[in-house]
Amino acid sequence: MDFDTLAQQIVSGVMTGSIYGLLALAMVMIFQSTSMFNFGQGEMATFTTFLAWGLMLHVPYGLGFALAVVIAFFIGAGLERGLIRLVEDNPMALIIVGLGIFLIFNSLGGSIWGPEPHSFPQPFAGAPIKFIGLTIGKHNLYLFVVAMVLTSVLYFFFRFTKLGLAMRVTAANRTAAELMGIPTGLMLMLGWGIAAALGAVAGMLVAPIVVLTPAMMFFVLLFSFAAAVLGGLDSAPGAILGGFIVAITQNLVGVYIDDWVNFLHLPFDIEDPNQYRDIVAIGLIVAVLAIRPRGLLGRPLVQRV
Amino acid sequence: MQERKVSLVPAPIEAAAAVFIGYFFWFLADGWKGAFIGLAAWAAVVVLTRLTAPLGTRQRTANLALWLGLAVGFVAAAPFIASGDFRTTQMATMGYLAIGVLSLNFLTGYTGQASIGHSAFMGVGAFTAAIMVQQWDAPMILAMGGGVLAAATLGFLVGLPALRLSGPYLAIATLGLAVIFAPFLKLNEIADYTGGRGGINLFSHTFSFPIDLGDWLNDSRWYYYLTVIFLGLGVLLLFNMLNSAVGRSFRAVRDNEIAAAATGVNVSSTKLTAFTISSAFAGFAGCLLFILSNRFISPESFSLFLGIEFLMAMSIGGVASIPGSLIGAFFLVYVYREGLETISTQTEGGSNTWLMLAGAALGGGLLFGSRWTAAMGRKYAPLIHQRYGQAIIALLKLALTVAIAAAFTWLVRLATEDLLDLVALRSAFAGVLLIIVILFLPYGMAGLIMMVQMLRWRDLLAILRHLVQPPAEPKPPTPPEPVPAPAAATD
Repeated sequence: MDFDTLAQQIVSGVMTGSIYGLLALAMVMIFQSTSMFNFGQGEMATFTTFLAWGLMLHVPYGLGFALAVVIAFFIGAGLERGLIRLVEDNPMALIIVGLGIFLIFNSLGGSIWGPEPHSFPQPFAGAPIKFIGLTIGKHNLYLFVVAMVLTSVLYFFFRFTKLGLAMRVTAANRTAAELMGIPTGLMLMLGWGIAAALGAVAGMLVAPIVVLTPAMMFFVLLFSFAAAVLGGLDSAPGAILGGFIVAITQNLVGVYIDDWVNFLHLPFDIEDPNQYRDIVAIGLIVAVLAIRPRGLLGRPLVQRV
Repeated sequence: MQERKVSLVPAPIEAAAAVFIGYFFWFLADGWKGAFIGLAAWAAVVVLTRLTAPLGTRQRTANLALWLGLAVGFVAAAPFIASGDFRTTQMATMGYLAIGVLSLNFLTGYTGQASIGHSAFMGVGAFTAAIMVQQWDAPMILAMGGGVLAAATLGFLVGLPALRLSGPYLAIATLGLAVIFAPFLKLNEIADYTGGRGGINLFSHTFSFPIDLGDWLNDSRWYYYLTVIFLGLGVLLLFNMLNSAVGRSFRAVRDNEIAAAATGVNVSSTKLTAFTISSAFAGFAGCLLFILSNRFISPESFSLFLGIEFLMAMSIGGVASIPGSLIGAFFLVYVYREGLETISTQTEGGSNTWLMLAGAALGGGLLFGSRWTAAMGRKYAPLIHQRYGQAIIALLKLALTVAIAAAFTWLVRLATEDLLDLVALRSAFAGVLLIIVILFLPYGMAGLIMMVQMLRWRDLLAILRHLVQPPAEPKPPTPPEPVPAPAAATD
């Protein structure tokens, strides 16, 4: 086994994993407060990325980025207020409303901007950086830094500010939070807004890599699901960790599955290792759910009858 | 239960819906031939709603014989009326989709296990049948049996880990299943069997069948009858099962697992049974899909979107409802897959009737349906006119509805001409409809139909009379004198 290849795959896995982790974090935030997945999260992110793309034709990158994040925040908060709140105590209705959001944003994006791919502006283009035998694309580095900065900002926000504390209390125990005088409705709205804004950031960061199409976030979202489930849906550090694990596994499968098959003397050859990348990554969700349903860092569910 | 004479007068809403559906299909597909197909489907839905209504209720007994006769006659005659193979195959498509939606409804509606990945079960059934035919030239019945068996096995295997999951976790696990299904079939290593990216194409294959059917085997009508008969058998099977002790244990598990376990229901085996039966039905629908789609299937036929379409059909048609599954399939084929295209070409061609109707439904629903406008009406009616105030307000609402319909038509025309592509937007329409149904009609269209079947002609007259001259509001009873609290409250 070649050490350089291994290190390269792990480093690029960490970079991609930071995006999965970011989106998984948004999912965990929503799951903790509403116990649902927002199936429309990825499509909402794609929609705002398209908006940002449209804005960036007229304004500089930074301004377009910021505007898109603000728009995404309001879309997310508005959805919570106008829609999710009406069905929040019915789990099946929540799943179906999530699918409805998915369908609406998916087809809105497709019908406004069409199926053809667009190229999304890249703030740091140019030759990749070489560093002790590793090749790192400038955009990947930028994406990694932004994701990590955002994650730490969120950590400090939830850990050390009063608002963050109020949001955590709302997610942990809504009745108690209400009794303490916290406006829980507002907190939930904020949570959805922040989650949507995180999704928009993730969308704008991956758009240059996967090219901007209405379907671009589908697999990114799926791997983020995998990351969130793997880490445990009630654990924010778990989401980040899960993101890294999923992305690194994907990369390693792409490169090494052939060796593993030979090593185990399995009776077939792998013709195209890349076919297995997605299958293994999604298979991971099913496997983790089967073995440890609450994820690696999640708490087991204890229910009082 | 009092014995009622069979009356040949349908309930008003049923009749109104029949006229509407007839018109819809007249417009959508080939004039009166299309209208006939629509009426056949409507009769089938009405009969199913009546047959599955609780015993002894009016929905169940009134006019049942009339509708049963109509439904059987219409459904049997439909392929001879329909114009061409395309329409016949389309009706058969509706049949197997109904079986698929039924299987999902059984698992999700009756047992409470959310599944987004039903497309995968369907795909396993279809591919097993196709591979059996391709590799060993299996006769049709055997291939279908193999497909059902394979799907049931997969359902059992998926059901095992699913025992530990619930709600959103299960939804995610089945989502994962649906997503890896297509890439799995495309793997080069098994492409010899599954046909890889291109799928399996047995276009020129004729099935061997025990009875010599001659030319009928290549006739789409034969496949239509086959599907309809299987759909009928499937409905009968599920209906009987759901009304037995087994079926009640499914519902008990859905409503409260702990309570069900306490009353002696084996929760794990009930869930596993539900998964196995449901995926067997889905696999069966897959086999029918393989047979009906010119013996051609590809991995993309069973993408995640099929699973989402099923969930959509189930929610719009009616969760935990057998006729709801049929309505869902009806919606998928004629409204979601075909209707919007027709509407969009028709609006371009210049016919506004459809848009006017939709706008009228929208405005009428808002103005006549909402509690707020009713309250406003009650408040201001006496101020307008002592006796006919309500009638005047009703007329006002009617006028406003027409205005809303016109505005709606104008807006949609504006949007479709310059800005948007209606067909590309169909998922958005479906999504909006899905959310509206979830918010306002928790039992779907089937629930709505069941509700309005209660309405009789004389009730309609009473409502009209009420509109013209409402009875005086009954005064609220004066509250009784407060009873002094007992001296020492024990807990």
